Amino acid sequence: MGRARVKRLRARVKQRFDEGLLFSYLALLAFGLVMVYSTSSIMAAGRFGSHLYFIRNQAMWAVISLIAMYVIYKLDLRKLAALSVPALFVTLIMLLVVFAMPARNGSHRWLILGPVSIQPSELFKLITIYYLAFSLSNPKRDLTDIKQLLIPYAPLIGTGLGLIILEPNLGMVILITLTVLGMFFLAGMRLKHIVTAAAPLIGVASIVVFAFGYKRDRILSHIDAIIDPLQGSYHVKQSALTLGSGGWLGTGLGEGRQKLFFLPYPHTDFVFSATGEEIGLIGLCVILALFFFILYRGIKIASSQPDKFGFLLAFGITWTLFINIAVNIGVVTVILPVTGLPLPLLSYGGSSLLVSSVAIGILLNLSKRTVTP
Amino acid sequence: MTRTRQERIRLGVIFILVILFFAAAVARLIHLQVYEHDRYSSIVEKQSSGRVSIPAERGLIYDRNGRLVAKNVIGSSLYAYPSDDAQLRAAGAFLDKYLHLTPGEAITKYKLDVDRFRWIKRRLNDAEAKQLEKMTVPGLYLRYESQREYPFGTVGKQILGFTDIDNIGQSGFELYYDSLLTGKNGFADIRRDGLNKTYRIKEEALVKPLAGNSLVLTVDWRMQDIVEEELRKAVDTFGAQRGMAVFVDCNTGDIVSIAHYDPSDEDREKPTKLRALNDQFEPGSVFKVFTAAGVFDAGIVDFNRRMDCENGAWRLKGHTLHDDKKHGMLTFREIIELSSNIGIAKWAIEVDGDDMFKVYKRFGFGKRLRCGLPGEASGRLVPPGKWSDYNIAAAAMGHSIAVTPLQLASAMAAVANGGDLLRPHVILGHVDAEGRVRRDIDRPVINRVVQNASLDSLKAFLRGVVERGTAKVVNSEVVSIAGKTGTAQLPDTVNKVYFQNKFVATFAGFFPAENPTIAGAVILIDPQPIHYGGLTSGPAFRRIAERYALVNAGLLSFPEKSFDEKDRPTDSTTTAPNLVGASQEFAQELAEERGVALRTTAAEGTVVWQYPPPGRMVYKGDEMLVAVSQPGDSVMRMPDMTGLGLRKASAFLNFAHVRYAVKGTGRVVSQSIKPGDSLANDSTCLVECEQPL
Repeated sequence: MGRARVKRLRARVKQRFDEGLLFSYLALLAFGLVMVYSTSSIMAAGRFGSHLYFIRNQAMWAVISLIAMYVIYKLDLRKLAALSVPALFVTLIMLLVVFAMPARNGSHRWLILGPVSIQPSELFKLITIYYLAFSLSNPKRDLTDIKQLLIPYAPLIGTGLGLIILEPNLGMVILITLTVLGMFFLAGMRLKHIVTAAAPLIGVASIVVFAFGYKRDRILSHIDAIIDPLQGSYHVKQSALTLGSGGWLGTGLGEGRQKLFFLPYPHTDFVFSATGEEIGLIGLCVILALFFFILYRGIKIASSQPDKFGFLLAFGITWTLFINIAVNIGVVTVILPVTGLPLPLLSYGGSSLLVSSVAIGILLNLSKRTVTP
Repeated sequence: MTRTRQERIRLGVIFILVILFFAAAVARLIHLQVYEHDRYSSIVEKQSSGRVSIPAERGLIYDRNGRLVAKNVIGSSLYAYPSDDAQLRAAGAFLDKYLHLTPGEAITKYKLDVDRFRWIKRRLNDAEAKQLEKMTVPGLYLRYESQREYPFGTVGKQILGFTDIDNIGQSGFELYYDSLLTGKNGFADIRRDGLNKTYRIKEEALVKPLAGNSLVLTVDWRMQDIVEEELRKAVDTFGAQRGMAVFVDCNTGDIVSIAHYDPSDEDREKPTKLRALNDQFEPGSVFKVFTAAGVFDAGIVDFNRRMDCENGAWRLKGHTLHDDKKHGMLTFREIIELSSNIGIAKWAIEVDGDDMFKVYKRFGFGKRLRCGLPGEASGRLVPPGKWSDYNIAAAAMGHSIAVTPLQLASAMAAVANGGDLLRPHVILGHVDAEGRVRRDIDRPVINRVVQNASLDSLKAFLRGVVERGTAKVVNSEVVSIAGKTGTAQLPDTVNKVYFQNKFVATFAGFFPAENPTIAGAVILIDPQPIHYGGLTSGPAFRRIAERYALVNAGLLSFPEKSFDEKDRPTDSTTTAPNLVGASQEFAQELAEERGVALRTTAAEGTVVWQYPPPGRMVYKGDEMLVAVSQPGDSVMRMPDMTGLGLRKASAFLNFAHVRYAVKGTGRVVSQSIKPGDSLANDSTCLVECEQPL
């Protein structure tokens, strides 16, 4: 290898991380803290005696998340990839342990460790992506062979999804399922297999819904709600009203009226609506642009990875962020039926923030070594 | 090329999906935030704002001299509004203890529930309010409300009426003028949250409450107090069933005082009636005043002409008219002063029935005067088409018609002021925004009562009634009074006849006689044993007039003694002495001292019972019945009841626990238990009575 070629290669390999991505992340993180305070302070004062109750927690998690992101950024993800297999088993055990924990709001989602509680399903999502990137990038694996797809992924991931269904946390199951399918798709799975796998699933679901009437009314009424959100359930109606109340420019930060116990979960699942009331359509477009920019950079980083592992990992992270954002915004704008997924970086909640930050850390890590095509 | 073609294509598909989603999201946001903005934000505005009513202060009520007779005070009321189960339990437990209920009873008794508003107790007294203010019980709160208070207690309460717990008028003035007094509630817009908690009041959208009108009454509370007290005394002293009185300013029609007293009324704090205008009665001789006015108006009066009063009995169209005393030839003046039924009947018959009817109507009889207080009765005046000479005679002396005390007082005021019937009224005016009293009403003349004559002679006659006639006891050294007495039998509505021994005693008049200011009427229903208006209602009227004149020194007049000393009214009445506990001998002395006789059940012993009771007005020379317990004789002995009034006899038999049956009415002529026989508890006595001729 001549010196000139090495020099040329060096020029093509970017050494610095993606500053734009970091900036977008930090902007959203900071704005998320503002919105968590705005939407939670009155409730916090009423319920916990301090208007700072939620924001204090969230700020603490933000610090933890930044540290975690930096650690992830510094690690050599390729060398550590083999650890994803035992890590996956550990998270599966954690998913079992949650059932021994007291339920919150009727579901066993949290692993409660003293003052800190984390959602193992969030961890499972991340580890699964890491594991799949590691496993699917193995050149020996023939993804055109259906048998190699079913074994070992179906039992491993299926067990995790089964446990999460039992929590229950349907939103997370949908998110992980779509993430896994997306990664299979990018890893080179044959379209025929995707279709043959998806067709019977859709068929069975349709029969269950329409022939046996399971949740049929809910689905039909949701279709009405898409057309006129005021016909929807209380949550859906209040979310639409909250957004509508904002108009072009919003009522101003802190001036939202809907967060005063009209809009449910204004600081978690419906933070996007509450934000929309206060900063209006213009503000939301800025938020959407920041999210879009992160996803755009994620895809860019994926496509310029020097190897398949980096490609799949960056794509998986980006893809799961996208699904998460799309489902949340789809729900609060009354396009999708209500599924309890928080909005990454903006919603109150430590696990979500930590996992999203780790995801960004992974993208930043991978952005250090990209190749311009 | 680090990426395969397939990878690039598939990544491109994903990127297109991402772009499509963001496009869809922005489109949806434009739909919700721009297109639906107006509709949605108005819904949000509606659900997050509310309106609270700010109650208007109820108008105050003043008397004619500016005394505050109905005011508002802030009082506390206790209510429950628990927001969760813990508060519900805490509130329930506290109330169980506080109200001494069995555990758990408060929750069922007051139907307490989470997020439900329930009154526990309205209008707490001061001690309770102070005690509760110090405590904080979750779910229990105090609300401060404006409450009505009447500084003069029950005085004039009959006029004012009362308000209910929500400050809405329920009777009397408070009811009739509720819309004027209520005012208009204001409101304030508030911010509220999804849990229905109020956050703050939007200052810009506040509509101030409009306080109710403060009204000034024509009633003088000082006079009202005098009238109520004297009426009560008269009812008690004369053993009447009830009494009524109305006094008006005869120059303006202002009702200065209006009252009734019925010992059986239970709740004087919450009167529902104003009998002085709700009730009507047969006026009797007092009505001769208006007949006389009609005679004057007809222009046929010859002061020197003497009318034959038929020595007390006159047959007319199959009926016999009686006079109380036998009179021979009397002038018109003497007929009024001595109250001769036969005399006034003869004069009235000389005037036409139609003309008399018109005069009575012009005096305001037979229809409501619309004085502005609820429940006014119209009285009864039969149209003249049906009138025979006997009907004319009956009406002339105040029979077969019915009047209210208010009508009587107003008609008397018309005589006093020289002939204007004024609409009686209770509202003098209102207090304007600057706090000045605006007079709303000024001498509302309904009509002239006479057209062709002056009433000066009639007024002089009425003064004569008091100076020389049937109402000599009314004559006062302090204020000159003119007026007319009336005594009429009460109708027995069950048997459609008149009671032989139940009367309405009336005195209607005005004072000072020379320059009248106040006209009025005092009516006692069924006074016993004395029933003459001149001796019962008359003295009450006099005392009211005297006391009022003393309060208003301008009314004092010390009339010249225009009569001879021999004409000086001799008081023929006295009060029954208290004889119970005295020995028979001493009782005899006490009775003699008062000029009353005694009828006893035994010749010696101790008086254990008497009738009439001590303090009751009796005639001098009348007999009191006393029960005497003899030493060494444990049983009561039967007295000789022959000649006693039925009331006195039955009072004794009731006292002695003797069952009795009565035949006939009037005075006792025979008794089945012989005088001196001992009375066992189960004896039965048949008493026969006859009406004395």
